Amino acid sequence: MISLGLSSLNRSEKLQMSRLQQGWLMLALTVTCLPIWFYLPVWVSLICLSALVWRFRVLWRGSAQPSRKITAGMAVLASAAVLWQWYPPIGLEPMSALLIICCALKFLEMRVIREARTVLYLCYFIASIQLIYEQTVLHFLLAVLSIILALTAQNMAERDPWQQYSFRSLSLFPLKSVGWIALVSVPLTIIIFLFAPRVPSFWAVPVSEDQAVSGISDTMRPGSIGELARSSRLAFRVGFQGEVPPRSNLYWRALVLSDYDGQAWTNRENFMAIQDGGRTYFPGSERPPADWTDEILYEGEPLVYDVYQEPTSQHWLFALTAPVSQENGLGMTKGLRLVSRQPVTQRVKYRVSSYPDYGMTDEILDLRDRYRNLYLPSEFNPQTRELAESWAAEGLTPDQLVSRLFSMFHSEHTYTLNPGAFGTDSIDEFMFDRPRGFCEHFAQATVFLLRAAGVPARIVSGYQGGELNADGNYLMVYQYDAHAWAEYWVEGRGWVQADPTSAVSPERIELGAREILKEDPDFLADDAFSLAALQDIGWLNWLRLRMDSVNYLWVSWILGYDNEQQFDMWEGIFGDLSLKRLLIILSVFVALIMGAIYVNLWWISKDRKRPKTQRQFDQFRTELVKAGVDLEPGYTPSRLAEQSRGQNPGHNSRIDTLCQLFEQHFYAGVDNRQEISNLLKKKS
Amino acid sequence: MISSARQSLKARLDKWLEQRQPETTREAFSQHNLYIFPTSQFVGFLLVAMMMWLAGTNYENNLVLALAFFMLAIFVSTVFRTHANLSGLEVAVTTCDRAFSGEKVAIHLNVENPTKEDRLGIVLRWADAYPVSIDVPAKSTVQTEIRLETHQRGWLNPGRLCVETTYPLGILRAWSWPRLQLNALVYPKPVSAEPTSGERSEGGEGQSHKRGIDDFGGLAEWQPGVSPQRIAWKQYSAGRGLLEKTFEAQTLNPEWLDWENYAGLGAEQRLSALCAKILEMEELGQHYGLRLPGQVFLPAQGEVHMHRLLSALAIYGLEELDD
Repeated sequence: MISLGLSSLNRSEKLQMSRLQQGWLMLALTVTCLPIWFYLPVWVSLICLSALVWRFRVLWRGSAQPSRKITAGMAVLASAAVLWQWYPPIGLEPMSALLIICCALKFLEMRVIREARTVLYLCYFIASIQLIYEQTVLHFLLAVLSIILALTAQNMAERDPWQQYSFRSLSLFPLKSVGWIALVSVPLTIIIFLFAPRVPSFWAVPVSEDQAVSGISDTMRPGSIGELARSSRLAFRVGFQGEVPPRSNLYWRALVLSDYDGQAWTNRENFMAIQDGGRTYFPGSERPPADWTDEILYEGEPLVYDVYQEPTSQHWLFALTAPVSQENGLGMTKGLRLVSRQPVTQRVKYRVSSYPDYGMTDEILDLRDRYRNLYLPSEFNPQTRELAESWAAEGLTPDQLVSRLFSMFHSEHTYTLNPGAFGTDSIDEFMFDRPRGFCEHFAQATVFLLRAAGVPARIVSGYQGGELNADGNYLMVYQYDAHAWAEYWVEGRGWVQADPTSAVSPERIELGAREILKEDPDFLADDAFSLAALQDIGWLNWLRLRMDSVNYLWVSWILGYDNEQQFDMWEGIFGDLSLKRLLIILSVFVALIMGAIYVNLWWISKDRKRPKTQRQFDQFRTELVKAGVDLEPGYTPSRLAEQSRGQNPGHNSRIDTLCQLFEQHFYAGVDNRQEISNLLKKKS
Repeated sequence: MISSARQSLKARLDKWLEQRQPETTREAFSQHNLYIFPTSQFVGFLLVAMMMWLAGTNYENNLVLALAFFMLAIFVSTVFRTHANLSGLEVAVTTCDRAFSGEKVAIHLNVENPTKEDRLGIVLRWADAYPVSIDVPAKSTVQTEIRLETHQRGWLNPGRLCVETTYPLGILRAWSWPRLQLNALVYPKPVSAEPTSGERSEGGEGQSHKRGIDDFGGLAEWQPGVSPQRIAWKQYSAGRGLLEKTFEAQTLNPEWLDWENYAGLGAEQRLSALCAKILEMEELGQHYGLRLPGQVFLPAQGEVHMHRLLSALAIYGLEELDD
């Protein structure tokens, strides 16, 4: 096999690529760009697709490649389209769209290996940013696959394009090199992942807030919670530090709806205290901020839990009442909710301590709050207003008002997912004409009546309950667990929770929405064939719970891994982390690594391949050199003997014989190893 | 100032290299004589990894971070892989062609791969020669040649060979600088020139002798380079060692090529002129001898004779300089 100088062309960066190399590149790019279909507008995918198809035709049909002018024109058009779609072009979507379009067009116009590398490097980056949109195991594996394919293409680009690899040769398939690299890199990645310190964000990333994610909204109309019962999408998971509280206590607060315009209830709460690098930050607060935070008394044993929330594109989070979180960028509100400074655009994890035995002083309800929580537009629901005023005239306390109303609900009303549409005076209609409703109908009627009776009241919306996954001892809360309930003000006690649903349908609270609603045709109407909807089929349910617990492990260990968990892990392994101890651990690590490298080198350098006779000959040579014989490397044994005869005063027949034996061994293939060994031993 | 500093640095590097990789006929690569460093391609790779890390950190996305760390891990494992692609290979010079100064001389090299792994993308660079890229399958030897430029007569000294590889990913380069022993002799550049003084050869005499029939003249000590046809095999089989049969051509007017004939020219020009003359004589099938200051080569004819004379020209005056 003689290789002429011409083949060295492949070292030149300007070399054209072979079909095989281009084929691998195309495969890598296709797999990398596959998931963008789901995140970006269709036209981005179409541009990529047309570039790929064109290139495919160039490769296999011999069509002409577009000239640089055409691709430049396409790039300008595509940039204009990006500007038209997202103006101003800030944020993840325009950036990833631009990157992907650049990558596809570069691939289309690329001619030489250097340009191919640019495409590959873009591929690596595109594969990774897709994980900002979705963080499931599957998406991660797909991204890893994309990277490995791009590595393979990069490996192929390193090869001699004109070399005809024989099919017997394993090297034809680049799995050997790339596979080795990938396999070695995985444990290394895990180690780096576990030990690399995490740095806080450098700048607030702009995120688009217009992603349509179904979930509870900050405006509630009758029927809007019922809509969510059609969906079996997961809202969040919760892992408790201790015992999971009984289901009837699991009221996950998301929004406090105080503002009522006669039709819809809105959350306009803007009293927030957000953790900001150790300080507390009060966004949009007009008055000296600290006054309301002092009014809430966090007392008693807290419930500590981690929430793993699916993205909502909203600022509100989910927590039990009176939550406190030390996480940066999170904070509590006056309405005892938990909020995030940034909208939740990807899966997040946060640790919360909730104080079920919290207290509050009467000052928390200032004049403005009192007004807001008593306000009713005068023109709607005259009958209910009348009833409330008559009850108030009897001098009932707020508690008595609530219990009378709830017993009325219990005896006269029905809990149903689909009560039909109501007119303008929806509460009157619900109270007296059509006593059927879902949780939000009951909640708004309760709050309306209490306000009409002069008791400050508000609606709280969020989720109630959750399904316990015994595998991982955590709760799964689905969209169909969405719920709304009421709170009313009692002097001396603060805000008191009142859930009218528990009066009309206690099973909803004790068994969960699924158990009570599953016969309803509208329940999970949108996800009729999702695993969550098919829980009654035993093995499917078993599968669903196992799959979800795997997902939970993924979410809690990989996605939720942060400085805190890192520190916990170190402490768990090494105990208390004092500086001295840290230094010792560090030096042990360094020593171990150095040792491993040393052993590796020693292992490599160990002369394992040289046959014994060869080593004996080397030894023998060394002896002669020590005796003063002038030797050069490459002398044959007979030359050695000749040289020794002339220069070695101690020359003897043993040396001659040995030289003869070696000569016979090396050049005549005589098996005289035993004789050589014997003769060598004789001297010593 | 800077250039002198660079020179002293280069001298120190040479000295250090001389210690690590002294002259040899065959070099096997191991961690003792392999060096590794990122290529310019690595800049792009690192940039991508850093961008990923930045995105992962800013979006507080552990998966993107994990991929950034994966890229880092790939770099680290590629260090081993690139190093392993050269480690264990052995390179040796087999033969060197002869060439006249100014021509390219082909150096034949053997790259042996005694290991069980295929080695791809091995590049051999030597001086200003066009680099050669080869693939060396497992358990095999690949012959290749490098065509070196020659600029002056004498023993060719192109410095160190550079054996390098950027396989498998192109982001790292592993290389070694073996100093291989070379037997490449560069003959002077043949330039015809008219003799400036009268030729000392006596023309016109002995025309009657038959031309071209060589008679056996005797036996001489064997020297490397002699054609096997001229080895005295009979004597060898009788245990007298290797002897060369010499022949005396019976042409009566052997041409004497003399250094002194080119009195007006400089040493190199004289050598060039003599070189051209030797080639001419050989072409004509003439017998010719050579007189150099202090050296006399009796007239003879044939390829071996020609190479002996050309070699004498090639190293003329250089031996003393070396000592």
